[in-house]
Amino acid sequence: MKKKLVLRGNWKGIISIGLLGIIFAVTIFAPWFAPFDPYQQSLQDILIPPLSHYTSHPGISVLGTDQLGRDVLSRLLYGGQLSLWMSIVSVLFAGITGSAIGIIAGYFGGKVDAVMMRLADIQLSIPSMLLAIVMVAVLGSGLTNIVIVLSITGWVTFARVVRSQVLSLKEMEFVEAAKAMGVPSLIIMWRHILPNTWFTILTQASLQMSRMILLAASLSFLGLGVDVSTPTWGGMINDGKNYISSAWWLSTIPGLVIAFVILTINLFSDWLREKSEG
Amino acid sequence: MEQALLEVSHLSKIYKRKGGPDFSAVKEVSFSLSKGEALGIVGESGSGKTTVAKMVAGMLPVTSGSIMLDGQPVESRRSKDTKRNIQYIFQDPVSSLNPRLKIKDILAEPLKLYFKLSGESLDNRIHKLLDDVGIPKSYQDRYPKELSGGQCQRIGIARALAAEPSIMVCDEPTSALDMTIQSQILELLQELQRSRGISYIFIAHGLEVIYTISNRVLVMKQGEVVETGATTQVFHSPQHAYTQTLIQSIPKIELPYFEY
Repeated sequence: MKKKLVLRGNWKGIISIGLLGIIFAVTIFAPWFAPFDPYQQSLQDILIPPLSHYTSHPGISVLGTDQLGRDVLSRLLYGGQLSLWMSIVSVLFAGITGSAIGIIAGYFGGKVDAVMMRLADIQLSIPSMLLAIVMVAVLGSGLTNIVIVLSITGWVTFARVVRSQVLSLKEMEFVEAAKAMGVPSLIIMWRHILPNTWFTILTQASLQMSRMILLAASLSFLGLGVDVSTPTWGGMINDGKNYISSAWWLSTIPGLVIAFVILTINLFSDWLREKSEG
Repeated sequence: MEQALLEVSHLSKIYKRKGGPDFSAVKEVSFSLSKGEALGIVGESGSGKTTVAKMVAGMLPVTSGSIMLDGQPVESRRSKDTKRNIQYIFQDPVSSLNPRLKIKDILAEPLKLYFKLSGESLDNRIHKLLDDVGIPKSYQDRYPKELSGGQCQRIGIARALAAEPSIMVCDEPTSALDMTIQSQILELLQELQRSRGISYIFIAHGLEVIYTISNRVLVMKQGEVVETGATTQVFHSPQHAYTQTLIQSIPKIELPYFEY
């Protein structure tokens, strides 16, 4: 009876965590799951459709091959590794700096708050895609730079959401009690405020992660991502767009995968939000 | 007469308002509190009782007036020892405890802050405090939401006690609790007053609560003290018209007569 209730209330969580687990497992351990080397080219097997046999070597290409005869499924798994990795690291950076800024601004208020929030407003007024493109153009592409750019575009949302929660938290009596006791501000923020914003930060982090995946893919699509031969989901869509009339699978499949991963993450954050409210 | 523990004189709080006259929440309030005494502050909502209490506890800056603790003037930036000496008990027992901290961590905070306790002596002190307020030791690993309102208020009292204060400011500590729990909490506070000589500044809506616990009463109306005196005297022969109305407004229970 109780088990059933747990299942019914948490189906979103169970499904999304399960799917995310699978996605992370197959991409992190891509070398084990990928049927072929993602870099191996084969001129006899250019643009073969999904579920057809290779001619140069034994085996079936489950999702077809690209214009250089590379296996799409293998590239998808290896590409996921990079795409997910980039988005996780940048969410981590953006989350830590954004939350810290949000807590400091909300807790101290006044001038500190005004300066930090105006900074956030300025950044929000520029579309993040545009900002990312300009920054990549200035800093140059490459993995580290992409992560830096993604982190910079992401901190604002964290700062805003966390700040608004801190504003209501700091009026709570337990914070007032700690202040009256003479607990140092830094410890109040760390012990009394941060733990009560966990859910908000986590929900925001998962929402941001799907945004980062999309942004990273868009950058690769525009040719501003990591080096062209390295498989990334956005890069694969870009590579396939010239063959879209003859080989639909090249762009469609990575696109579907991106959509699927984002939907799963959004389901997960939806569940987190429900948990935090209940 | 012995020297008063706390001497408050001409305490005022003025809030500046944009485009309007300033609002004075508290006007020239003076009182004194000696060791082991309980001073009740009564008055309707908005009479400035809580503002006085928060200024005494250092949670609100004072506009003018002075506070003397043990003959020493209290600076606007309070020393740790002054903060330790005046502790505050909140109206809402649940929201005054951090929901993400275990009971033992809530109690450990003042102990670490004021006495730098750690390890076994910290644990022992927490056990002693829980024992003092009548909470089983096994509750130390629970979170506040697993406790009832009355138990949370006991933890709030234990947290205040942990600082070993000479004064506890209680801001309607029983108004969020039901009648039987109210009397248990009041008994606990009285017990602590007897055994440790703690002085109280006690704020309450319920006059019967004030009557039970306080030795002297301060009646406030619109930020001013209108009457002060020994509890029995004020309650039995109120001088000021406002005090009379307050006392008349105590609901009297008339048990309905049942015919069998």
